[in-house]
Amino acid sequence: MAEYLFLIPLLPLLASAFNLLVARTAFPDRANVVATLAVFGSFLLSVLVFREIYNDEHALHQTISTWIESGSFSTSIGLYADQLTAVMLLMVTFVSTLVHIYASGYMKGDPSFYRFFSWLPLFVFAMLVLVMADNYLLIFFGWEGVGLCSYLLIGFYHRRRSAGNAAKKAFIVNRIGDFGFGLGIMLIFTTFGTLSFAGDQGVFHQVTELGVSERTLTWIALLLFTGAIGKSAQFPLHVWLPDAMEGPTPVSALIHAATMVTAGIYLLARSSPILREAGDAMMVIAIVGAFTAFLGASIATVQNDIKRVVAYSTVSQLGYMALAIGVGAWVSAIFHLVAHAFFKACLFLGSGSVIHGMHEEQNIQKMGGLRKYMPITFWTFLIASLANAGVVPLAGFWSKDEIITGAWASNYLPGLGNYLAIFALITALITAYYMFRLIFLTFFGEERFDHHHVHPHESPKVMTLPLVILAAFAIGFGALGFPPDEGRFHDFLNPVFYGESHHDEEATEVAGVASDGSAVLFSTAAEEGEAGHGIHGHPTITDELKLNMGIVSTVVALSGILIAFLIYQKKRVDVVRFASEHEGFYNFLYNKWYFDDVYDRYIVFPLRRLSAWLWQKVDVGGIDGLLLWIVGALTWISGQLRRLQTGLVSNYALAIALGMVVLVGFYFAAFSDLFR
Amino acid sequence: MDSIPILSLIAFAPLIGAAVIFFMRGIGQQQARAVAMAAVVVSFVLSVLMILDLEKNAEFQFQENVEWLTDLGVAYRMGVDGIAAVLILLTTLIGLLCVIWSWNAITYRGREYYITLLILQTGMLGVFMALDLFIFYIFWELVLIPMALLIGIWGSENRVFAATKFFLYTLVGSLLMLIGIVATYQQYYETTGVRTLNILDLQNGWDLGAYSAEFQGVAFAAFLIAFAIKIPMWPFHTWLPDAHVQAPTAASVVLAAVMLKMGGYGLLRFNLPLFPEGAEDWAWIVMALSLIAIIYGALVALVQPDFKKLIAYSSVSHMGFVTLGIFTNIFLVSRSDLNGFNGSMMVMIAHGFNTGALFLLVGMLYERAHTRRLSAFGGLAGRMPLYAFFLGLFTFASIALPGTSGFVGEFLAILGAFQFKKWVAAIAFTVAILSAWYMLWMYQQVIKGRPYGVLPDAHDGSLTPAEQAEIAAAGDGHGHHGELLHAPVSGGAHDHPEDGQLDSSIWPDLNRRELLALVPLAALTIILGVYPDLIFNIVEPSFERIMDPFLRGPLN
Repeated sequence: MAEYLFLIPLLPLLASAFNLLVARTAFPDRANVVATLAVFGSFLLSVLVFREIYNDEHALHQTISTWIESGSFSTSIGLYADQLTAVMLLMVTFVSTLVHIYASGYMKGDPSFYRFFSWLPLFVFAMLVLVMADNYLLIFFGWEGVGLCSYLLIGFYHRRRSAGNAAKKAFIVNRIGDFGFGLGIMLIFTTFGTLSFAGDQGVFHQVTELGVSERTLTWIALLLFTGAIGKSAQFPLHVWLPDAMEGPTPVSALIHAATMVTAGIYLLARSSPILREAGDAMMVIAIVGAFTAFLGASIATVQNDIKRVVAYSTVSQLGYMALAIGVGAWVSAIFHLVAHAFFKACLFLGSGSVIHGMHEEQNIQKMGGLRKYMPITFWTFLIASLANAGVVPLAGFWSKDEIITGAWASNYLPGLGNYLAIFALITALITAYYMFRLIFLTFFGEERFDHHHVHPHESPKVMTLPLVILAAFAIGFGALGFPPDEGRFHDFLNPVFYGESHHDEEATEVAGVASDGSAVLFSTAAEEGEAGHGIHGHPTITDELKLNMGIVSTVVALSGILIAFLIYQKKRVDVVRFASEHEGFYNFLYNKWYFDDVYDRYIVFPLRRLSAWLWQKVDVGGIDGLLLWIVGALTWISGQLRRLQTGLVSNYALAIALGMVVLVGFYFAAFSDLFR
Repeated sequence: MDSIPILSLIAFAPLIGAAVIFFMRGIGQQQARAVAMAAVVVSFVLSVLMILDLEKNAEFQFQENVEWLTDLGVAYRMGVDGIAAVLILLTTLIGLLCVIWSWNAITYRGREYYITLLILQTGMLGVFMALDLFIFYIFWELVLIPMALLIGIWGSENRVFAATKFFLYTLVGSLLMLIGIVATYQQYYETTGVRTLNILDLQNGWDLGAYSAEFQGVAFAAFLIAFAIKIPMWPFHTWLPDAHVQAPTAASVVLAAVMLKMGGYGLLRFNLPLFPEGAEDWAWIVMALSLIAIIYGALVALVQPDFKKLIAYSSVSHMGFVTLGIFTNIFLVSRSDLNGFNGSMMVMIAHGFNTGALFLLVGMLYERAHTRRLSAFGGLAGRMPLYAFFLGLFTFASIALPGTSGFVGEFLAILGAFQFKKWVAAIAFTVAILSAWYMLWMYQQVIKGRPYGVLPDAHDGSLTPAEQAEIAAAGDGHGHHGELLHAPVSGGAHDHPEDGQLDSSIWPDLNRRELLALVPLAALTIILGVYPDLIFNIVEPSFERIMDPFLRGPLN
């Protein structure tokens, strides 16, 4: 299978090129067929890859070509597939296929249909390169590639200025993260002498071999995390993601919920051998993640645009994933990533179905009672919301619960883990609340839309089928993660994070906390001697803890739903009056904690002022001014000298006579004894 | 092939073409452009053959030696190594594309135009292949005159001022270089007793102890200023925006794609090999100026209202990477640490492609709109999809997206800087953010949104659903569309007198001739972005040779 790895990204790339070059003129309305088939082909190949890895437990590796060979610096174009890649491959190609099918219906009749189906497979290509790359620079290629496609697709409605602004903002804000990622890549190269991570010569092997200082590793980890902050929309660079909803809804589902935004989490998980040795960086990741989760959830509670609520929910869930990485719950992070991909894609596609059925209306205040008009959309949306809220036994429950448990058990500073876990639980409460606020406002209650203009209807089958499939996964996927931390999903992924010896029964039972404070859920490290400096007597993850935490988080989620039910269904609280009584607080949330305003006022605006000043005062005024002054001075001197050339012979004669006198006088003064 | 003076043929084919046009009195523009095309094609094909035949070592190949002023040590010496060969190919390619672009675009004094363009071509090619300082200087100055004429005769409204500024600026640099040349010649003579202007001999002068440390400091500065003006390095860059804005498209393309590279080439060919100690003394200043140029150029580009000026300032920023890469690399410790050199070489080539293509695209738009004001455009994606595609491609190539040659160049140049001092690289790398900012700002103004002067329409998808609802609410029964529809289209541009001409709906999309000029550049940008070894294989031996003195110190 290894020799066919290249086909997986190649198929979507070919489809993209074909649609751009051929389908554009030949059959623009059928471009979706080419793209969907290509992505489906990648999915089938991914299944084969998965099977082979599942059976053999050996990573597949294919080197296609060299890329940059500059002196001692060398990178290749090589593909690598281990268990982590296999999971990502399946998820990416599967969700992509569904979104392609869905978009065939959603984008129908758009004048730029072919363009949409050129950029969408191009995105899939870049994303597949990202998850399959065998070195950091090729990851960066995919990383920037998905950024490009994100730009193209957010700004897909190119006449819409707000779409253009959102696209530009997404790319530039991401570039801030890439700035850190790029420097991280350079630091990896100067530290390890290579950028490829697989194999004996790879970075990961050398982390332990070379004895690199923790300080350097912390720097590398933080720089890589900077990249993740941008791409995975963590605080303080989360501001681009909600705006990205200007793109067509299938794009929001695929790129800005299921796949691209999880690239940062993937990068961190991929770099686990480095992160594991960088305790301080892990702590930063955990705190930023927990805060992002809370930030996103808090804003989602007051938004009225259906896509924005879901978008802020995405920010929040990405925060959970970063928290999981930060506390060393690697498998849980990936588990949540995949579960989230299913239910969040379902939520976005469901939102698209609602918007479609409501004639492009996105404001949930102008909806209500839609469940009888669009039953399939309603039920799938409900299931995905339950999963997002973390209600047992849906996928989101198992993954989120693991993260909270992992946070509880982590221990960077005394008590920090407990705070993180409680913080995450509060966020879970808010999550359940805003999801069901959305459900009640959209699908229940009185119908607040104008019946003369709007006739809600269910979407066509091509759109509802993907919803049903995704909802099924949102229910069933959790089973792979049962029992918590020991499910089949974990068995499959453990070798990536904890070495090959995970089958050892004893090893999986030992749980301890390593010196860096991250929770070691499966301490095979104990055998490798790393636990030698592990600190004993700290909280460990026992079955009892798991059970208690499960009960607590279920209670929390149900309370959130109950609050939403009481407020929005039973009308126990007048929300309008409540908002006006706490106007400052409401506006603070509604205006997204004023992040955009602060950035505009204190970064963007001053930079533009500075630029204008540099141009007008330094360039035009300063440098050119100085030059013009010199030119002017020269002109003036020349002008004065010109006066000597009067053209009158007598003047010249006088000048000659005077000159003679001066010269002769000078001669006598300097060289003769006449005046001595 | 050894017997054929292939370098002279490459260099003088354009000049012969110019002579043919000049002496054949009767011919009109039609024949003139055909002759010009033939000349640049010959030059291009020969340079391709030359580079295919080039051996990948540090030797100067295809050498030609014709004794001339033997007593003075002047001879007609030509020869190329990898660095020169690559730049020669770039020059002949750009020359070819310029003639393609000019085909129908030039109507005023066509014969003279092609003569000037061809002489310019010969001058630039000669600069890259001369192995004698005297010959080099002649070619260097030869470039100046036709470029000034191109700007001054075929330029825009302020052309004479721009041409004068360009001419004087570069002349100051040239004269300083002349002083440097004479001084070096004299120093070499005083030590060895041999009068020569042979560059290869003079490069041994350091090993022979001909150039004292103090002398190196001064002579380095003389050469540096000449090249700094050409590159252009901050603060010697202010001629560039004026020259670019006023120059006709082909001159802008040549200027950006090739002429600026003469500065980078000069640094690599003369400053580093002749005066290694001078280079180490001056490196910090050059690095500081490079960093300033990188950031400053990007920031100033951010506020340009003129399409060409924006790209001109972005050139200042990009060329900063060339000098940064070169002068950080000399401090690296190993013969195989070539990231800075390779990076700056690739930046030069990538910048040639990207900026050349961007100026072509500006020119194509200017032919249709007769303005370069960014606020006068908008919404071209609908009417001119091919244009939008190519502008987008080169926009992202200029942003240095991985997969384009610009990424390889800038990444390696910054990596070289990182290996030297991490904070230097960190400062330089901020341009990743700034370049995305100004380029996407430009792209949005030109390509996206509504066309200039077109009011929003609730049904054309230019408004969000919320805005449409607002209009519908305001418009019900009142016959007007609310404030939204009457808002200025882009940045209050309504007050401009050219309003009437700016009907983009009648602008045709790119035609075949224009595509013919753009497609090769697009292909090369991608090819070198994916497989940059094509270039590195050729240039690396030369860089190892340049690196040598910095690693070992003087031989004696």
